[in-house]
Amino acid sequence: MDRRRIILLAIAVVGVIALADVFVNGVGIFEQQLFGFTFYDEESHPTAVFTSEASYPAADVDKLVLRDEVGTLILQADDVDTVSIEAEVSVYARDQAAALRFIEEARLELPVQDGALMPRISGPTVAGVRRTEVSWTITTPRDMEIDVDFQWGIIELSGVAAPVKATAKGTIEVRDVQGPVQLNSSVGMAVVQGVTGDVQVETSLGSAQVSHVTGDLFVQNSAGEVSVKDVTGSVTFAGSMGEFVGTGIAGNFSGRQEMGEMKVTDVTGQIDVYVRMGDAVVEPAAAAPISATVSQGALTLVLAEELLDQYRFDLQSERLSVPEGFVTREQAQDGHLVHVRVPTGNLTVQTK
Amino acid sequence: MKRPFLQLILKEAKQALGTALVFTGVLVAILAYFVSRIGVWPIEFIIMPTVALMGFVPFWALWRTYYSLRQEWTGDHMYLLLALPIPGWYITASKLIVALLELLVYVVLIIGAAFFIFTSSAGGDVTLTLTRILSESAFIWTSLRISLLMLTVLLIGMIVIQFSHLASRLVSRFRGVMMIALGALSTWAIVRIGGFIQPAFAWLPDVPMDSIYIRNDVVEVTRSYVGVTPLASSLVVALLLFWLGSYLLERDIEL
Repeated sequence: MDRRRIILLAIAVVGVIALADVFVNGVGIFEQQLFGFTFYDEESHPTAVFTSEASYPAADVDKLVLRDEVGTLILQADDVDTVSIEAEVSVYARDQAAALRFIEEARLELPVQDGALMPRISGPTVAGVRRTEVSWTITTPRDMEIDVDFQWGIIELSGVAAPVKATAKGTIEVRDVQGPVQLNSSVGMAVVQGVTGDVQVETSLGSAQVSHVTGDLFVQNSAGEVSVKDVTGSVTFAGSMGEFVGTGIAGNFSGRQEMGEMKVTDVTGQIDVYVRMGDAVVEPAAAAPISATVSQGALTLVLAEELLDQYRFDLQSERLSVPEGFVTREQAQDGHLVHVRVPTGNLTVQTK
Repeated sequence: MKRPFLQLILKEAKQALGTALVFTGVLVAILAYFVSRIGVWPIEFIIMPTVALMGFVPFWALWRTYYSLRQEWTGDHMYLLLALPIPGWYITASKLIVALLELLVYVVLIIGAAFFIFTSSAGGDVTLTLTRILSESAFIWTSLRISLLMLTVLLIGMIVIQFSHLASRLVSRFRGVMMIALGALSTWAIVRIGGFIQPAFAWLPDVPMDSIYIRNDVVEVTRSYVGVTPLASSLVVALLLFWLGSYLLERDIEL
């Protein structure tokens, strides 16, 4: 018998074994191999938790700097002269023994560099410890500058009377601050309430809620909802996808939205709106120039009856809907220009 | 012969160039049509069929594995290849490598077009957002791991096709039927022998996969682990089949 016949015979024998196997054990044998794939989520509960506390005199420091990969911070500024820190460390490990070995040597450290206090947890490298998360609860003097940067986490700040800078993918809440605020929450939610100072909010995926700001506001958002309420200064918004709702703006408003709705009401200053795809509503509180363009979508312009005499209109739309007598009325030649361009959708002018 | 393996890969690439150009041309034409629909069709109607084109890629890779071998016999090139002083696995491996490279070109083309369509219709800031997401290390590593796992599954499938085709050349008649039967037999061998040797791979670490959720406006990152011992054991059996196919080609295949 030549080699080729021997090989074919071997293949035939294996074939018979395979057929017998499928006949006896059924086609379920193919699924059994798939069952070998395991899938599990990382522990949602820590293997061990320990808490460490410390304080530091505020006289030597004027800034608090916190950096972490994953963390939670609740910071309250108060009339105190020391910085009080409590760190609750959650250890996620393969087993209890590994977590305890980490805890034995882990320390809360408070290094100071160039007047900045930089709390951190230092610990040994222990095999089996997968990750640690720290929940910080900190009390600082009111005039201490705050700079927090978490890769992922939750940040809550309140009562600070100094510049605040916070960055995290997660939730950032800043309340009752006197000083400029700069937030960057690339994924998640940003809440700003009660700030005396200029505010800058940048989010990519998520929502932003800003209210009661005494100062100028700049908001940038790529996808999500943005709500702005009661701002004494000017508001500048740049967004890509989502919804923008702004009301109670005492200064000028300038907004650009690529895809999504934009609703701006109760604006005292100049209004400049551009929406590429989506609908828009513009409702000024006082007479001031209005410029609005909605490339693909509808625009509703709501004007108070008593303000009409203070405007002159340049309305460009093939689908114009205006109140009775609006077209024939005489326009104020020295009035504020209302320049509106809606090339594809409905332009509706309403009076109230 | 200087660097024969590299020369074989180049030869294989030249041989594949004709069909690859036709495929690329058709693909580019389809993608260009989709791009021309930006602003005309709703974005979902453009993105979905563009991404759906990705579904053809694995089937194409399996077909390419079969066709590249068949080409050698129909074009009477196999006589020359087997006359060269090279091991059989040079021939089989070069065919797999070129097929995988071609596959990579199609994947890049489709993903690039989908990215372009999405960013063109959504505006500059969305591009920035996408860039930020794409530059996240967790996203990059998880994507790479998933791609590697999927590529391994595809490679196993390609080896099964290759072995079946080669072993079917042992007979002079009913090669088509023989190839189908050998395909089924190879799959059985991978599943059963792979399952049998699986415990030997228990030492392999589970592969981490990161997921990002936004729940009640709170971002949650969860890490899951996928145990890949069945894949590893199946790959080992597939590599044995690869060696066996190459050995048969070198020693016993009927020209």
